[in-house]
Amino acid sequence: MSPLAAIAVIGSAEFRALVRRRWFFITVAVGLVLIVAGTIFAFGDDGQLRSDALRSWTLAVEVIGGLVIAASLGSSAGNRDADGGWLGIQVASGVGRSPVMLGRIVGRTLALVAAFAAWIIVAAICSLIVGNGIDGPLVVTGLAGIENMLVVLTVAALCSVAIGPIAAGVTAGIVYIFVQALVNLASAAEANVIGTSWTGLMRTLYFIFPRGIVSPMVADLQARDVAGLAAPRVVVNGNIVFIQPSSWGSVIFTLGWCVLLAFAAAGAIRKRALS
Amino acid sequence: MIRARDVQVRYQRGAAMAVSGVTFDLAPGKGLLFTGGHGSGKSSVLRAVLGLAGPGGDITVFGSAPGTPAALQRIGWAPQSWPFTYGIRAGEVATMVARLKGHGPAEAAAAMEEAGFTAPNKLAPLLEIEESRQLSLACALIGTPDLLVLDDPWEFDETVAAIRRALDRGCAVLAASTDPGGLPALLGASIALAEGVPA
Repeated sequence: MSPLAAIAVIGSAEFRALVRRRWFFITVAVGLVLIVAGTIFAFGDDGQLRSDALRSWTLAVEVIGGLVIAASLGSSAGNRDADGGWLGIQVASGVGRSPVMLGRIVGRTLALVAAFAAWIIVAAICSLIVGNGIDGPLVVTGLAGIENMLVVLTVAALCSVAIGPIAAGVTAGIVYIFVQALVNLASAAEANVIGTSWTGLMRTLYFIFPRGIVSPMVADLQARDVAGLAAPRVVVNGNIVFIQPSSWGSVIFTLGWCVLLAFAAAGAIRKRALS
Repeated sequence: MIRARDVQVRYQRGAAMAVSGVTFDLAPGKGLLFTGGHGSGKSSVLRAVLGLAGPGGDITVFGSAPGTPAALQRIGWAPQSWPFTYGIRAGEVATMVARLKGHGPAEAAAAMEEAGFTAPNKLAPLLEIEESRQLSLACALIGTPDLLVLDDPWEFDETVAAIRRALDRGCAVLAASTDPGGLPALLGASIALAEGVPA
């Protein structure tokens, strides 16, 4: 069997198993309920305020719910105890450890995309209901959210090969905060509101590490300070920093990092003792 | 088929050996059973043969190091307990293993029938322990392997019949059991382990 075929078989089995898990279903369902609740609240406002209310509620669901799902999915990707010998069954089938690990990451990525797809579709329907039409910028923000959470998932997957699932999930969450902070501080450096000694460091780190992807909608909400807790306004040294939407270059660069992290996890699993 | 000298297994770097000093040979058409209490190292020896646990010691399986894809493709592996992930259906487990070994759903269904497993639509966490053992055996039987590695096979009529058929066609059978019952006589040879070493 070719490695690509093995990845497809394992990815398909993992996806079907993951989306049937109770915690996954509950997390997605709670997100949907919150988006609907946000829609009900949005009816209390008019015009721009109504649109902002629905957008900020959906953004909060995608950030918080996305983090929970991505960290949980990634942290069980390579841990030998997480599935009580399931990883061992897949490896013992003789397709090679690296394709097995890549298949497990692909299955998890599909589950992450499925969760976001449910939220994006319901948010679009809610946007239609409140009279804003299918909110294109909100859909784009959902796609940016998928990429941000893919960073979390792949970092957690890589960590799960070496450390326990809880530690792997927490580490991935810290990395998420780091990459978001890096974008904020790089913008602050561009605006010359941080010390010159930090400016060079921030720019260097920005060009090395994966970048938090900021959609035009989030940049706009942040600038007007109406994004809520999921994307608060950035203030550095008393100055408001306007975060610019991510370029296509950043989108591709960060996707490249996700691929690199997935292959690193596939390489790391080769020397691990399994159940 | 298997040549193992001074099998060693260590699960954490620097920690004590879970298994050491185990030596055996297994030829085509022959069987070997490892017996011993819980934590005696039986399962670890099987995992070392599969290349799942290491460092392994001096082991060759089908003439190559344990864990190579070529060797694993010729091995049918039945792990102990409930080794199936939450959310997966029993039939999907067998189908996945069949596809990974280059076969299809028909071979998976045939293996489940041979193992006496009758609940392919049941979710894995809801399987009774007897059903879990049968599904595990079914995974091992897919694709007529040259070596069966069975961890804690329960002595169902189907299991005994499957082992007999395997030995008759020249397949080697390596097994481990805490409660061996009639398996030592069926397999023809056994090694008792205690605290990771031959008793």
